[in-house]
Amino acid sequence: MGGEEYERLVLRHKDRVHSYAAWMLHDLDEARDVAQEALVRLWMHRAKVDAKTASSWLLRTTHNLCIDRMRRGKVRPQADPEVLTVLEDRTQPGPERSAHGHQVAEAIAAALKVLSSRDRAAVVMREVQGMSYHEISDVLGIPLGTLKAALHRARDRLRTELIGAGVRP
Amino acid sequence: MTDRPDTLPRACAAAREAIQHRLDGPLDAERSATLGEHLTRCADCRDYQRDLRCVQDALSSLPELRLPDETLEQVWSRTVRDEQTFSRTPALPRRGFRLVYAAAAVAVLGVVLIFWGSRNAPHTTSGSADAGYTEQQIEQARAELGRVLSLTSGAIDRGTWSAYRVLAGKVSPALRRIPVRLPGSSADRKGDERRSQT
Repeated sequence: MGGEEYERLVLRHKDRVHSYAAWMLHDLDEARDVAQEALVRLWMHRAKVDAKTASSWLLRTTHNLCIDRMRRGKVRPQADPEVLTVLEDRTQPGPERSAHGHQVAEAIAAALKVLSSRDRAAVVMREVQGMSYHEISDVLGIPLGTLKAALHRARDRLRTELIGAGVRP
Repeated sequence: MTDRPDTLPRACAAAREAIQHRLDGPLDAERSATLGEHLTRCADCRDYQRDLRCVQDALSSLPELRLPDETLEQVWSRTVRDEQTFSRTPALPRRGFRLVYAAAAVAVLGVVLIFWGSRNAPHTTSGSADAGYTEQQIEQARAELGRVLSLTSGAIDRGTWSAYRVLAGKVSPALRRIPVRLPGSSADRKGDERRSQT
């Protein structure tokens, strides 16, 4: 992979990588660090990473960096208020979007925090980023059945959290 | 409704599993028909289905968070721009191999220096100090070789080609300070003159 190919890949995947880290860590400072590190690592490993699989490679690296941060306790226990502010800025109710929908989105962003790291990863990749089951299974290194079980568990838990928080979906 | 699956009637538990599977992809005709039939007579499961769809919609509406420009700038400065400062070179081999290559390079360097030193030293049977080098010069050579080794391991730790380029700029002067007489050098000629006088 040459310099131009690398630049193209970074421009294509940078926001996806950053978003994934942000929804996993709920901390924008840490998410920026993780995204930067993942993109730099792609450059360092460019000799062995094929451009076709760079997307999965980047997300797997980002996921591993997020897990490292969580294990090292570098992530704040509560959701970063900045994340919720960003959410508010980006999801202002428009003609096609109700105030209730916005409230649910904000509550669900906070509820993601209670999921286990694997369940959160599965649900963010599938429902937020729209990845295919096979791609997620490859990135997380888990069988398809295990992935589906994680997704079912995560959706159930999110539903319970929202109801518990007084926000009926 | 927040019922645990194990406390639900069996038909509801099966229906909820089918609802989850339907979110993953289409159900087969038989399962789909069974679920449809159950949903017509179970309000709780209809609510459950509606709730899960809303959860799914809410998740898919979470925005993509743009990487700030200053972070992207830092990425460029640590990658392509760092590379452009010097020249475009292939990626480094793995760290373990880099260590082996560097150790081999230093070993070869040492052998070459010893070879040149012994070729140009006077043929005496006494110690090194009598062979044209003072103890101070030998000590200085040893110290410089140690310095070259530590500079090399420093570059391995940084692990970038640019680090090697910087290193080259430091190692060359360090090598020049090692008091070894190369064939044809002025120091070598002076040694020959001194030997011919004796």
